[in-house]
Amino acid sequence: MIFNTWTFAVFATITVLAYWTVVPRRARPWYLVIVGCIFYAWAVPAYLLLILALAAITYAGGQALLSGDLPAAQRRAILSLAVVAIAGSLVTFKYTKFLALTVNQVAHRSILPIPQIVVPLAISFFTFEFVHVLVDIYQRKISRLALRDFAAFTMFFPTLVAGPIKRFESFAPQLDAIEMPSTEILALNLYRVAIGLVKKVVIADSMSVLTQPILAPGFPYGRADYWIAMLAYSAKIYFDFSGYSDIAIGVAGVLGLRIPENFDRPYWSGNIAVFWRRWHMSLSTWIRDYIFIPLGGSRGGSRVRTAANLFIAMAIAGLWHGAALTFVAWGLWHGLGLAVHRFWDAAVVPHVAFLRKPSFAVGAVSTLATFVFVALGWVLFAATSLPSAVSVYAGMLLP
Amino acid sequence: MRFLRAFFVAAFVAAFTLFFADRVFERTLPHCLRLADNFSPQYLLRTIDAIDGNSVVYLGDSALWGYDLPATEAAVSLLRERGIAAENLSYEGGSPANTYAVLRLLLAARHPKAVVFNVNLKEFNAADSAYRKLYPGVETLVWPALSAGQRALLTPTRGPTTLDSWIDEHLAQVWKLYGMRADVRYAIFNDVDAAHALEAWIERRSGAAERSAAAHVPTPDKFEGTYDLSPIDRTNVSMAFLADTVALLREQHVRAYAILTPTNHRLLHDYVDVPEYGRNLETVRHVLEAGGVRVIDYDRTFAALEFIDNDHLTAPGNAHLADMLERDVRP
Amino acid sequence: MDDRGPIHPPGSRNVRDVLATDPLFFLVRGAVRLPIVLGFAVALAAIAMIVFGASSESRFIYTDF
Repeated sequence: MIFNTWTFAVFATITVLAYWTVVPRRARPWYLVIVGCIFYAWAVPAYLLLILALAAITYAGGQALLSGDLPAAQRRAILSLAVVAIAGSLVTFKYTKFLALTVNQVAHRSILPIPQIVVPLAISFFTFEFVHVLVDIYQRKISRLALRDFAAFTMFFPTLVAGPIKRFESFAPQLDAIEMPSTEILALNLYRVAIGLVKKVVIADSMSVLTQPILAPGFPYGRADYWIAMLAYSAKIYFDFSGYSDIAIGVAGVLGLRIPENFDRPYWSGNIAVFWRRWHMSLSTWIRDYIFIPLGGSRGGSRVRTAANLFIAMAIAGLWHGAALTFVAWGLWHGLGLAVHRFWDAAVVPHVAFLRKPSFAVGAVSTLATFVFVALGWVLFAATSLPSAVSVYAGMLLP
Repeated sequence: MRFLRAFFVAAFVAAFTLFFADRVFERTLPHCLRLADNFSPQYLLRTIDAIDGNSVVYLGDSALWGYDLPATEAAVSLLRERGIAAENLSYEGGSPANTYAVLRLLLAARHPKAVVFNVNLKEFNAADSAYRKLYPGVETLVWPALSAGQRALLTPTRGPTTLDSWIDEHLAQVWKLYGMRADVRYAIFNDVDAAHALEAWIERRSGAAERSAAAHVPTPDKFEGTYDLSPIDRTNVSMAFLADTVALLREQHVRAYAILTPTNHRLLHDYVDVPEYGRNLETVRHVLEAGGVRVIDYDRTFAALEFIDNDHLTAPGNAHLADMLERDVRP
Repeated sequence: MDDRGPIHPPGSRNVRDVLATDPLFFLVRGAVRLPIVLGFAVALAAIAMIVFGASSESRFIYTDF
C-alpha cells in the first residue's frame, strides 16, 4: 500500500479513528499488530508469512538469549544462528540473482542459473530491525522482550514499507501508556503528513521527469542536461525519501508514538561526516552500530584500518539499497569521501589557520563542496549500470 | 472527544476551502483551443456543453489536433482566429471508433451547425493501437450508450475496479478541480504538467530539443506495416464504426463533412501508391457519400514539405489546411 | 560516518522542534493550536498537489525494499 494513494488515505483514516475512539487503551498495541498485518498483506498476502516467520525466529532467539545465565559460547551460538537465518533470508531473496549474474559476468559464461525471485516488500528494513533486536539483547541493552511489544514493533505499519528503521529500546516503552497527544501535536503531525505528500507528489515526482539524461545518457543530451539532471535527481531523492519519512513520522505521531527522525537538512552539511549524521539517520546509525563499530570503527589508531572499515561499512550500505554494482560503487564513493575527510580533518585543518577558525566563507565553500560531492555520487546511485554512469560523468565533465 | 472535535473542525475547514476553490476554478478555467493530452471526461462534457448551434465541430485524430505543434498553430485554431466558430474535439489516438463515440456524446447534448471529421486509412489497420480502443475518458462516458454489438467490437481500456479507481472516479465527479486536473495543468503549463513544461524549456535552452528534432527525420521504412492494404469491408472495426457514424449523422440530420486525411505520398510512396490503397479509399468514400456526408479529398493535396511525417502537417501545412477548410467547409 | 550519532539524538526533539526548521512551517507558526489552520493548510496542500503535481503515477522510489 503506497502512501500517496486513496487506499492508504482510507485505511489510515479508519485505523486512526478506530484507534482513538473504539479500541481500548490496553488493546491498542495489539490493534496495531492486526492492522499492520492487513497493511503488509494488502499487496501479496504470501509476504506476510515470511515476515512472521523471521519475527518468530527473532523472538525465539531473543527469548533464548534472555533466559538465565547461559555460557558466553552458547549465547554467541544462538546469536549467530539467528542472525544468519535473518541475514540469510535477505541474501537469498535480494542478492541471489545479483550474485549469479556477477559470477556469470566474471566467467563470461552461464555457470549459474539466474533465479527468478520476487523480492518481498520491505525485506531490507525489517531484517535490519530484527538483527538490531538480537544484537542489542546479546549486548544486554534490551532486558525484556514482551511478545506484545515485539509484535507491535515488527508490524508497525507507518514504518513497515520503508522505515525509518526503529530501535526497540525507544519504541517499546511507549506502548505501555499510549496517550492521545494534545490537539496541537496532533495538528502538527497531520500537517507534517501534508508536507510529506507535497514533497513527494509535487517536488519529487516533478524532479523525476528531469532525470532522464542520467537514466538514459547519450544523444541528444549535452553537458547542461547532465548537470541539471544530477541536480534534479539530488532534489528528487531527498524530497521523495524525506517526504515519505514525514508521512511515516506524522502518522506515527497521530497514533501517539514517536519514531526516529530520518533527515535533518542534509544538504546544508559542511562536510561528508556531518552529511551522514543528517541523511537517512536511522540507516546510518544502524550501519555505525552494527557494522562500523564491530569492525573496529575509528579506534585502534591506524588510519588505514579506519579507512578500510569505512569502505566496508559504506559498501554494505550501498548494497543494502539495491542489488547492483552501481550501489556498491555509490557506497564506496561515500567511503572514499569519509576517509578523505578524516585525513583532511586530522592532517590538514590543524595546520591551516583560516580553516581552523569558523567563517562564513569557509562554511559556504564547505557546504557547496559537500553538496557537489554528494550530488556526483547520486549519478552512481541512479545509473542503470557502471558504463552508463561513466557516460554521464563523461558528458558532464569532458568537453 | 477533543480529538474528534478537532478532527471534524479541520475536515470541515479543508472541505469548505476546497469547495470554494472549486467554484473559483469553475469560473476561471479557460476554454482551451483543443483538448489536453490526457483530457478528463468532465472537461469533454464541459466543452460540449459550451458548444452552440453556430459552431462547426471538428472530430478526429492527431492530424486535426495539431500533432507536435502548439495549440495556436493547429488548423482549427487558425479558423477560430479568423472569426469562424469552430470547436476542436479531435485528439491524439483518435480513430473512427473514437469519432463515433464523441459524436454520440456531442449529439446527445447539442446540435452543431456542422460536423467535420477526418478519416485516416491507417486507423483501419487492425495493428493500429486505436483500432479497437476508445480513449479512456471517452470510454467511461459512452460505454453505457453503446449497443452490445458495438461493445463486442472494442477492447475495454479500463482495468478491474480497485478501491483506488473507484474513489478516483467518484471523487472526480464531486470535486471538479481534482477531476479536471489534467486539463488544469494543460491550461496553465501548455503541457502535460509543470515538470514536463520545465523539461521542454530546459531542452530548448540546452539545445537537446533541436538536436533531437534534427536527428528524427522520418524515413519510409519506419512506416512499413502502418497501412493495411487488404480490402476493407464491414467486418473491419473501423469501417463498422464509420458506418455507424454516418447513420447517426443522417438520423440526427446533421450537416457533415469527411476529410480524407492529408497523406505524405512522397514518403509513403512504396506503401500507398498502389491500386489497393486507392480501392480502400474509394470504399470509404462510397460509404460516406451514400450516407449523405460530403467528402473532401485532401489525400494528395499537400506537398511533402508540408508534412512532419506521414500524416501530420507542419505549421505552414496547418495554415494551408485552414485555408482549404475555410474554402471547402461551408455549412 | 563516525562514532558519533545524529546531530540531534533520537527523541531530543518533538515534532514542533523538527517542523520549526521546515521552510513551510511559517504557514502555521504561532497558530498551530487551531485545527482551522490545519484544515486550511491541508486544503492548500491538496490544491498544490493537483496543480503542480506530476501526471505520472507516483511511486516511492525504493521499490526494491
